[in-house]
Amino acid sequence: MGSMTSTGREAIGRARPGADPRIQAAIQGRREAAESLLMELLPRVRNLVRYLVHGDGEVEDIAQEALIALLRGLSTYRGEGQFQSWVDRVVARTTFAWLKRARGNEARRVDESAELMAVPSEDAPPDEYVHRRRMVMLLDRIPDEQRHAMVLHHVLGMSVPEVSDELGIPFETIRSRLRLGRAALRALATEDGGVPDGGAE
Amino acid sequence: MSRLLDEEGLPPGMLAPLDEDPGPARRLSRQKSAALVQAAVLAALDAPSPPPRSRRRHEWLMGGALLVVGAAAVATWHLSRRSDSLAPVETPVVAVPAVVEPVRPEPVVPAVDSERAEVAGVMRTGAEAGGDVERAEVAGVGVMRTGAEVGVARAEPDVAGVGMKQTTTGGTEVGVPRTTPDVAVPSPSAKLRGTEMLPSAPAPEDLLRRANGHRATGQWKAAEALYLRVIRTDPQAMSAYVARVASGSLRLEHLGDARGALRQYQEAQRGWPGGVLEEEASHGVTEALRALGDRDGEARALESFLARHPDSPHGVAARTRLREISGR
Repeated sequence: MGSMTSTGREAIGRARPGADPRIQAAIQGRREAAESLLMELLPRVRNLVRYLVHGDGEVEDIAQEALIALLRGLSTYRGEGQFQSWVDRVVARTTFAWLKRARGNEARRVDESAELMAVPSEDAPPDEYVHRRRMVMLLDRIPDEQRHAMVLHHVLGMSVPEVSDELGIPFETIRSRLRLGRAALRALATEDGGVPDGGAE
Repeated sequence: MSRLLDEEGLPPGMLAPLDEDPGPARRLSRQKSAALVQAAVLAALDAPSPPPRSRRRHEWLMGGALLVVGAAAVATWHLSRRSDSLAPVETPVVAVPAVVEPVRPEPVVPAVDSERAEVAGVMRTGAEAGGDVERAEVAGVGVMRTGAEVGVARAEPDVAGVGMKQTTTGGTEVGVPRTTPDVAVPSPSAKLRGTEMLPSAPAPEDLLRRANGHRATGQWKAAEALYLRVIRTDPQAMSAYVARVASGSLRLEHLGDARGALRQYQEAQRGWPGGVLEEEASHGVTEALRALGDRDGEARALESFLARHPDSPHGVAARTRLREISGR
C-alpha cells in the first residue's frame, strides 16, 4: 500500500504509546477523543470484519462490538508494536468470538439481496472498490477455516506461526489451509472470469 | 507483523493488505458511521463494565455463597425450632426470614440478563438514531489515493476486438481521479501473457487509469475517448461496466450530453443488473432524465431508485425532488 494522505491515519498507525493523545484521553473516558479515534478506525475495522465473515449482513453488528472491545481494552495497549496491529488483533478476536457464538444457533444470514445493492463509496475509484468486492465475494465461497487463515496471513500480514498462535491451530494445519485456500481462490477467480496480475496463467 | 515461512503467495493484489480505503466492506454513510461509533462509545464509556464472563462468574460465586449461607441459616432455623419445642424460652426466630430471603438464586440471573438486554437496547437505538454528520466528516473518509495503492489488477477476461454497438455517456462521480495515477502501477504485461490481446494493447485498467488522469486535469473529451475504448475492448468485462458509468457521469456533468448519459447508464443497468455500481447508474438515470426535462420518467426513476436504495446518500435529495415533481 502506498502512503496515505491523511495525517490522522498516520498518527494512529505509527503512534508510539502516548504519541496519539486521543488514546490516553479515551482511556480517561473523554468522549470526544474516543469518538474521533473510533471514527478513524471504523473503515479499517469494517473492512477486516467483512474479510472474515460471509456476506454483509452482520458486519455492522460485529464492527460495533469490536469498537466496544477496543475502547474497553485500550488501557491494555502497551505500545508494543503498531497500534493498528493491536487493533486488528482485537477486531479479529471479537469477530471469531462472534462467529463462535453464532455457530450454535445457525443464525447466519444469507445476504445475497443486500449484496446486489452494494455500492461504491463516493470516495473510492470504482474499479478499486469493485475489485475488492469481487475478491471478498470469492472468499465467501471458500470454507471458513481456510478463509480465516488466509485473511490473517495475506491481509493482516501475520506469519504462519503467528496465525497458528492466533487461531490455536497447529502450524502444519495452517500451512495446509493456506495452500488449499489459495488454490480455491485462484480457481474461483478463474471461473469468475479472470485473475489479477500474476495470477494463474 | 512479519511475513514469512509461507513459500507460496497469492497473485499480487488479489488480497491486498488491510487498509482504511473503501472495500471490501460496503459503503456506509457518514451519518450511520457516526451513529455506530456513538453507540459504541455510549456502551463502552457510559456503561463501563468488566468483561461479561468474569462478571457472571463473580455473580454466580456470590449466588453460591448466599445459597450456602442460606442453607446454613435454614438448618439453624430448623434446629432452633426443634430446640424451641424443647426449650420454648429462647427463640432467635426473628432473624430467620431475613437470612432465608436471598437464598433463592433466581434474582441473580435475571439481574444479569436484564442489564445486558438494556445495554444491547441502547446500542441498537444508538446505531439507528442517525448521527452527527459534522463529526462523521472528521473521519477522513474521502482520501485520495496514490498510484501505489492502485497497483491492483482487475480480474477480467481480456478478449480484444469484440465488435459492439457504440452507445455512450452518463455517469456520476464514480471516476474519482487518483493523485498520481500512473505511479507504481504494475505493468499489465504479466496479465497480457497468455491472453488473446495484442501485446501492444493497453489493458483496460491502464486505460481507466489514464482516463482518470484526464479527468483530473479537466480533459473531458480525452477521458471520454478512453472510456469508449475500454468499452469497445471488451463490452462484457467489468472494466466496460465501470467505463460506462464513468462515461455517463462525464457526459452528464461536463459534456452536456444528457441523452447520451442516459443511454450509457441504462446500458450499464441492462448489462449488469444488480451490479456493484447499480446505485450510481440508477441515480444517474434520474439525473439524466431531469436534465432532459422528462418529469414523468424522472419521477418513475426516482421511485425506483428510492425503492432499491433507501439508504443512499442521495436519498434525501431524491425524496425532496420526488415530492417536488409529483406533488406528493
